[in-house]
Order: sequence, then C-alpha cells, then structure tokens
Amino acid sequence: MKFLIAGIEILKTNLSMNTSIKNYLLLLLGFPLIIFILIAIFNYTIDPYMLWHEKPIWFDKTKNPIIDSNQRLIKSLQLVLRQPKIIFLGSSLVYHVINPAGSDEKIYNLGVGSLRSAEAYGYVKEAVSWTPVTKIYLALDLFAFGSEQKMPGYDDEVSGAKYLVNQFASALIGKSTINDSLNILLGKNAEYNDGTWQFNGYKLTPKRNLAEVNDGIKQNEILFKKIFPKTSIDYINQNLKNIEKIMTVCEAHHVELVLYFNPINYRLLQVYKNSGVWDNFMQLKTGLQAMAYKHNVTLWDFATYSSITTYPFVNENEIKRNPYYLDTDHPTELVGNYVMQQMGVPLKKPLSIPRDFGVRLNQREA
Amino acid sequence: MLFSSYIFILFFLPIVLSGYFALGKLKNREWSCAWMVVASLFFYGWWNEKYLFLILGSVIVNYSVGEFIRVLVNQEKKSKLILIIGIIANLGVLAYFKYTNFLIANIHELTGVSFTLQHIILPIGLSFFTFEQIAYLVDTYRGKVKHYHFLDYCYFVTFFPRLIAGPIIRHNEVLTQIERKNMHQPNIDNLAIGFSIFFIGLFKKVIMADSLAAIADPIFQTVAQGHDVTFLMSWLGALAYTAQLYFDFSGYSDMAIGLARIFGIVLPLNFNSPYKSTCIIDFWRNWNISLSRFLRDYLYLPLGGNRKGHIRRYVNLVITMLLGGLWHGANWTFVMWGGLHGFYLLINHFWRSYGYPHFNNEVPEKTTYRVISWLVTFIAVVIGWVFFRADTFSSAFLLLKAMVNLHSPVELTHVIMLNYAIVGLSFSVVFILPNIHQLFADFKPTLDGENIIMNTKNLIWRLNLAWCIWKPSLSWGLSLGLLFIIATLTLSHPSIFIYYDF
Repeated sequence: MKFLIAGIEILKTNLSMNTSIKNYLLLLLGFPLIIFILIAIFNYTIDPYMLWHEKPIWFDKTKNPIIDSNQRLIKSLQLVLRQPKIIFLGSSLVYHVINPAGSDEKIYNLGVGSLRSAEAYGYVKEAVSWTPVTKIYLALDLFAFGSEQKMPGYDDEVSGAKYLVNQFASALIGKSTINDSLNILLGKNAEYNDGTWQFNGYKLTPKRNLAEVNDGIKQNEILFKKIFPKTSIDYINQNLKNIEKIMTVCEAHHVELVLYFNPINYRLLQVYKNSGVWDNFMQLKTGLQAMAYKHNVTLWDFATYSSITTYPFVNENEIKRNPYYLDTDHPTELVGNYVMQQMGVPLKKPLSIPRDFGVRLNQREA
Repeated sequence: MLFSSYIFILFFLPIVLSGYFALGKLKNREWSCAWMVVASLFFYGWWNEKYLFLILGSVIVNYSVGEFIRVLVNQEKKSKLILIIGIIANLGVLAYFKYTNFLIANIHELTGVSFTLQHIILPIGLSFFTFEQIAYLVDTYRGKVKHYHFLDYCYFVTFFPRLIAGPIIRHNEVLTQIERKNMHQPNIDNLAIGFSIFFIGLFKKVIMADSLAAIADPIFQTVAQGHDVTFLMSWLGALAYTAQLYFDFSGYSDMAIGLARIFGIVLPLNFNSPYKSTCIIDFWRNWNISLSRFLRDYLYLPLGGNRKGHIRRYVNLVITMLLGGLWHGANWTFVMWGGLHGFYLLINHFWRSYGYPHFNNEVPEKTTYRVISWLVTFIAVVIGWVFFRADTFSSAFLLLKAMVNLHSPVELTHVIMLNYAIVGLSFSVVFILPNIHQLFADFKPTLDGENIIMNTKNLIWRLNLAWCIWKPSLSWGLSLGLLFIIATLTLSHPSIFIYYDF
C-alpha cells in the first residue's frame, strides 16, 4: 500500500511539474498521434466495413450486418478502393443477384437497398470522378422511381473530395468505426443470418421460406401504395430527369451506359397491378425508352413474362425448387449471370440462356 | 473548409504549416506570405470556388481605394468622396448578397407587388471581410494608415484562421505583426500555446456545442411547426441554445486565436466569459468583443456617441444595436434581437445615470445586488437568444409564451432530466472554469486583454488558484491531448459554425 501511495505521489509530482516547452509540444502532438495510429491499425485490422481486406479476420464467423445498415456510405468507399472497370448499379435486386465473381472482368457490384434515382446520379458522378470505369450497368425498377426522398445514409456530396476524405478518415479513426470494430471483435453480430457480403459488393444470400416470401409480398403492396400516391404520377417524370442527368454525365466522361429493367417475377408484377402502380410502370418504360433512344443508350428489359420470371413460385416446395428466385423480389445468382451474359459481359463459364429471357428495346418498341 | 473536419486537421493544417515555415527558411518572408495567401484562398475556395473572384476582387478594389485615399489625404473633399464611394461599394456588395431577397420579400409584403426572388447564396465570411476593409478605408481617410505592401494586405484580409467568422481585426493589430522580419520563423512557444488553445476550441465546438444543439434544435423545430411545448421544455430549449451559441462561437474564436498563434499572429480578444456579466453593458464588453468594438468605433461614435446629450445617446445606441442585429442576418427576428438589446442597454444606462446616485453609488458592490443583477442580465440575454434562434416571430413568441406558462403540465421524463443535466454541466463549465485568457494569462494569448489578465492574476493570487492556470507540464499536455483525441474521433459529420451563416 505504501508503495502504491508513494507511486501515486511521484506520478502526481511528475505530472504537475513544469517541463520544457519543447517536451510539452512533443507530448501535446505526439500523444494524440500515437493514439490515432493505434486506432487506425486496430480498425484497419478488424476492417468492419470490408474496405481493406478481401477476407477480414471475422469473415466466416459473422455475417456483418454493419454493412447492411451503412450500405450507402460503405459502398461509396468500397467503390473508390476497388477501382472497377465495370459497375453494376442498382437496388437490392443488384446486390443479391449480380456476382462479379462469375466474370474475369474487373466488376464492382454497387447495389444498395432501395436505390433512388437521385442517389444513382450521385454514385455515377462518384464513379466517373474517382474510378477508371468504362461501362456502367444501371438496373432499374419501380422503387428507384418512388418519392424524391433520398434514403438515410446517402449524402449528396458523395462524389466530392470533401466527403471521401472525411469518410475515409472516419473509417480509420472515427468513433463509430471503433464501436463497429469492437462489436465484431466481441462477436455481437454472429447470430445475424441474412447473407454474406463479398469483397466485390455482392451479397451471397440464402433462399427465403414461404412465410418470408408472403410477408415480402404484403410489405411490397403497402410500400407501393405509400411511395406512389395515386395523385403523384409526376414522380416518374421527376425521376426520369435524374436518369437523363446520368446519361449526360456518362456521355461527358465517355463512359458507356447500359440500362436494364430488373428481372422481376410474375408475382411481383401482380403486386404492381394490385397496388395500382401498373400504369406508373408502363409510363416509366415508355419514358425511358424514348430517352434511351435520344441519348443512344442501350436499354434491356428483363421484367417481362418469360420462362424464368413465370417459373412457379407459390407453395413451399415450389419456392425450394425454383432455381431463379430467392423470393418474389430477388432473383438468384444464376439469373444474375444470365443477365450479365445477355448484356455482353463475358462469363468464366458461358451459360445457355432461355431464348425468351430479356429483350433489347429500341425505338420501334417504344 | 471547417476547422472541425478531418480534411482540415489531418491534411490542410499540417501541409500549410510545413510549407509556411519551410518557405520561410529556404526562401524569405515574402514567400511565406505568398504561401499563406494562396493557402487562405484555397481554404476559402474549398467552400465554393466561384466566390474566390469575389474575395479577390474585394481585396484588390479596397487596396486600390485605400491607396487613392492615402495619396489624396491632404485633399479633404476628394479623399472623402473616394472614401464614400468605397464604403458604398462594399455595403452594396454586402447588401446585394445578404439583403436582396429580404428587401424583395418585404416590398411584396408591404405593397403586394411581386418580384421574382433571386437565387442568391451568401458568400461565406462576406460580412466579416467587408467590415474589416471598411474599417481600413475609414482609418486610411483618418490618416491612421501607413503604406502597406499589397501582399501583406492580402495576408491581412484573407488570413484563414479568422477569414470566415472573425474575430474582426484591425489593420494596425495584424499588419504590424505580419511585417515582422522573423514572422515566418517557427516559434516553439507559439506552437505550444497555439495548439493548446486550438484543442480547447475544438473540444468546445465538437463535444459541447454540438451536443447542446441536439437538445435545442428539436425544441425550436417543434415551435417552428406551430406546436406547443411545455414550460420545462421551453426553458430547456432556450438554455441549451444559450449554452450552444456560446460554445459554438467562443469555440470557433478559440480555434481562430490558436491557429493564428501557431503562425505567430496574436489576435484580439473576442470572448471574456460574457455569461458572468452582471449587466448588459458588461455583456457587450465581453461578447463578440471585436464586433462590439467595430460597431462602437465605426457606427456608434460617428453617429455622435454620447457627445450630444442623453436622448441622442440612447437613440444612437438603439440605432447601433438595430443595425448590429440586421448585420447578423436578413430576418426581422435579428432586428428584433438587436432592438431588444438596444432597449436593454438604454435601461442599463438609464439605471446607471439615475439609479446609482439614489443608492449613494454603494449598492453595486453588495453580493446580493450582484447576484440579482447577474440573474436579471442572464435572463434578459436568454430571452434575446430566443429571437436570435427562432426563424419567425410566431415561433419565438410561442416559445416565450411557454417559458412563462407556469400552469403547463410537468413531465419529468428521464430524457428531460438527462438533458437538463447536460445543460447544467455545460453552464458549470461556463461559470466555474477559466476562459482561455485566464487560462493562458501568463502567455498573452490575445491582444488588448491587459486589464483582464491583470484582474485574473490578482484573482489567482487571492484564491490560490495557480494550479488551474496553464503551464507546460505533463498533466496539461496529456489533458489537452486527450481533449483533442475525444473531439477528433467524433468528426465524421462535422457541423458548420453558427456564425458561418452571418
């Protein structure tokens, strides 16, 4: 005890004693610098956002829902670090579906949940500004043309140097990154089971069961009614302006833009009808066709009734047997490979695609 | 660019600092000056590069006008004419960017005539560098300005630590320091003191002010939407904003003072524990001191000050405060705030003239009197801030109404109690801890604070408080380093300073 008290006394004396101004300055700047370096090493090693390591130390042990809740931020940083030549941009119908591992091309899956058209514009600007991208595939569905409201986590400054510098610094030494690293280290996310994010932006996702599928349909009906009030068909036109801005940006940066309608299945198309948004969908298609023709942009439509999209999908057995869909919203990786190959992305193992799957739209169809 | 951002702390500041002293060592003072001007313009352009032309144009025009006035100093009429043109040009630019839409909206309100509202963005810092240059022109006309090199003048106007939100500096305070031959050489004392003050300011802004904003903002938003708030909530909102504004602006000022000191420049005092004031006159001597000084020297005194009798003095005071309010923003709520403070000052002066003699000039020294005076002053200031913060009169009055509604339901939830605790803790920092002028009293942290520093030293000696005064020790190094670490870890979403909008 005496030693302890004596030790504290010595420490107190030393701490309060004047030191040379040079030593003081070294301590004032050096102490935070050392702490920041240690924090950065810690966050870099744990890598909760899968920025730096293809397989971080936690991989296979936890599914990492942290990326799910911060997709917009994390994917914008991953995009810059991956430096892809080809980008697939879209909603969860991209990140659950398009697996760049199927191709030898340098592809990044920039799918983020419920992507809005205004957000897509921001990400395209970021891609053309900070990556060597030569081709962007933009996947569209009605969600992207819902209300103008952007989703939480998206930042309008996403393509700016200010945003990127700030967010990269934050990803290394930010308080929230420390929390996320600690959560992973303590295994707090081990129970989460909604798929596994890959380094290329794809999310390997398990198939849903009947209850989840039915629940998804109900939620979609509610959601469509909410984001497409009957009086607001103008949303489509407002959002089409964002697509035109994307076309203009790509033209200016000599980046080839390919648009496509996601391969949604017959049950979701039925939801469109039941929710009263079918007209919106048709208006979107015709508006986009005209715009694509004007800007000489390729447009593919996979949202048609084909042998893939109409594959039976009602009861538990059919859901298990269906090789094409995880649930009513999301196709499987196989369909993603079909989509890639159909649009000209060379696959490692070329597939035989059903002839009725996907149609390239031109002005005549418009 | 924000001081409280990673880009500034991790990249801009180290690069500018290294370049500044390296150029000073390898080349000469002029190279260092040029580097600082370029860095300051980069700092300014980071926000919006389009307005670089505005600040550059403003610097060139004002320097030229100043030179004309200086050359024509013996030709009264001509120099006066040029001065007037210079002031009108400066105020014209300020009026265009800041008040065009306000004017259009008010004309429409009064006459019903509709004009198209212009999409005008107020260039950041415009109000500050315009005022500084008007002061420069007026002093040149008064023959108080010697010839300065154009590069030094650019340095003075664009110097990034105080470019955006002050303190408003005078040419003679800073240009004389810029002209020093050893100005570009690193000084270890300046670096140690500068970084220490900067870290304190950063902590005040990022941890204190931003936490308080999270309490105040939702309450002001609620009344802005026309919803009622309870008595407790209304006071919570008003007090949280009172503390937020202090930590935000004084935090910014501390950062500016610290950064300038790193580069060897000592800036004037801008805050001196204003919430400890026991009357409104003292409050204005301690709050945003550089602005109060500008308004006094270039508006109140030219209007006649107190030289033309009591009535005229009161009128001048109210005019000065009304215009001071309008300077803060193009909104009638700011005018109201300024007018309210003009009214407070009027009462305060009236009391000093007629109240003190009634008590044989002895009462003000009594503790009870001082406590009551402080409380009255503080409440008056809090009421003023309600108008300052509210977007409209209706929301301001809604909050004020709730603040006097003693019959409103009392809901003491955990959240409210926690928020009151945070606000209480913040005010304990305001009232108990020393400010940076007191903390660094032995190292002349600011210009023109001699009286304050002398009083502080007396207080320290009387109360044996030497332990709480900064000195280069391990404990201070570790403590301030820790404040810096805590603040820096939370910079993911930097918020702008309140005074950036003015």
